[in-house]
Amino acid sequence: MSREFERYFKNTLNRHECLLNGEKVTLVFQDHSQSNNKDLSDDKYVIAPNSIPIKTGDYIEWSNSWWMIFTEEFKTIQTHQQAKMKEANKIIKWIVDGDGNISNGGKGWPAYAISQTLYTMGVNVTTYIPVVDSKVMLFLQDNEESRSIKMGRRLFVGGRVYETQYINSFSRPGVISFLLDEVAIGPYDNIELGIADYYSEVELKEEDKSSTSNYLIMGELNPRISRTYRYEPEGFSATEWLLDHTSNESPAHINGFDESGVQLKFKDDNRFVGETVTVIARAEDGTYVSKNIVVALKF
Amino acid sequence: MAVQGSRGRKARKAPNKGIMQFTKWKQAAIEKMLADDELMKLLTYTTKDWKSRSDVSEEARYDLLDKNIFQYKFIDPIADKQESFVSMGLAYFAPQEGFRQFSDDYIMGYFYLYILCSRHIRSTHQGDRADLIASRLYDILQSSRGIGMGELRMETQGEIWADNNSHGGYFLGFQVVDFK
Repeated sequence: MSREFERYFKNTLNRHECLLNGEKVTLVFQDHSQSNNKDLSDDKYVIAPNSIPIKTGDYIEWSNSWWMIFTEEFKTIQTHQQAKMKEANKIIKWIVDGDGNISNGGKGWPAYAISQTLYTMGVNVTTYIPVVDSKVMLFLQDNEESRSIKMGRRLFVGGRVYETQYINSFSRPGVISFLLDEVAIGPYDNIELGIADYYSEVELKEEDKSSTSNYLIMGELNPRISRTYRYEPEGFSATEWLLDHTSNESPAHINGFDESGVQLKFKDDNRFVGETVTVIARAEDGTYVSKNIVVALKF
Repeated sequence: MAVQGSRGRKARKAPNKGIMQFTKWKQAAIEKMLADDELMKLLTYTTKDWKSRSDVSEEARYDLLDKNIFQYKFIDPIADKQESFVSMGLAYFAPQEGFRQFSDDYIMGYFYLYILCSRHIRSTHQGDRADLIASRLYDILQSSRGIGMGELRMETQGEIWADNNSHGGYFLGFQVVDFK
């Protein structure tokens, strides 16, 4: 590091302590221009000695805000390094695995989102119905979790849901940019948390309020005709199994049972589709436990 | 309209005839829709297990009006949620006349029902949502009385899609015959 740069770096007014990818460092932040980039975004230069590793896609926490390193520079006279950073204006959350874990340990990843709804109102008025149609470009750090966002993946940005329709991880190595097309909010989206496709079907089902005990019967809520399903007691041992149904004929056969569960083979008959069947198990203490299931189509 | 008769009494108001009955027919159709428990569930619940959900309350049924049920073809609110819709139209009412056939008394036209579902909620445990809604509407309207003379009869049916296929469904066209 040259002596002139050392002197500058030690004495300049705009040196600040901040967190670079979670680690405490001191960096110099230089405004892009006096006019603050025409109010579009608060872009700044980051100036640092070569000893501090800074690369595109890195996150900086400074001044109660999140910033993303957007461009690096290969300096020809390597006295120091300089990069450009943009203020992250949105935190994006999505489910990253099969266990319902939220991105970045639940905190979500800071991102730079910009509207791409240009020369249009963001609504497509068709013959029958007006449909939301805005477009957004999203920049995220290129990491394992952001790479798991594939084509068609739905994300909440600013309270609205968008579908990923273009993924670009090559233009700016270290940052992935997405082009998103607005879609309608669905029953499995969590609007309060801002996470799309948050709920699974089982979680949305209404609680079975008739059961006051801790005894439960586990098994498929929507069994298909012609197939066989197993229902198991949880928290108790079953001494007896019964089926209650509204039609004259039972929609299922009991195909073998013991205290750990019962096998139900549903008859291959379309007339049973839509019927509610109550699976009842008798516990050792004499109480009856029930579960309502509704028969589904074969396919 | 009150008219002074020759004996000085006001004549009775002329009965609604022909297309003056558009409102009455639409009201009759909506009455039948709101009384159908399954149709109400299909329009209220957007998940595959719509059938296992609780019955839709009377209040909630009325809430569907001008939100999911419309008295004209176009569905007003901007679709920013995955939902289903039923809208309607009345068209082509004209005297029943053809070659050497004249009618002093009757007009005939079509009562259209439009069904549109967000593509993302069409699959349900009991079948395709648009199919199920069409099935309910057919059940309550086909051969029903109260809309036009005699029994309502479906004459035409087809598929409709909107917005590059974000929404899809059917139209059902019922023939309506009534006094001119």
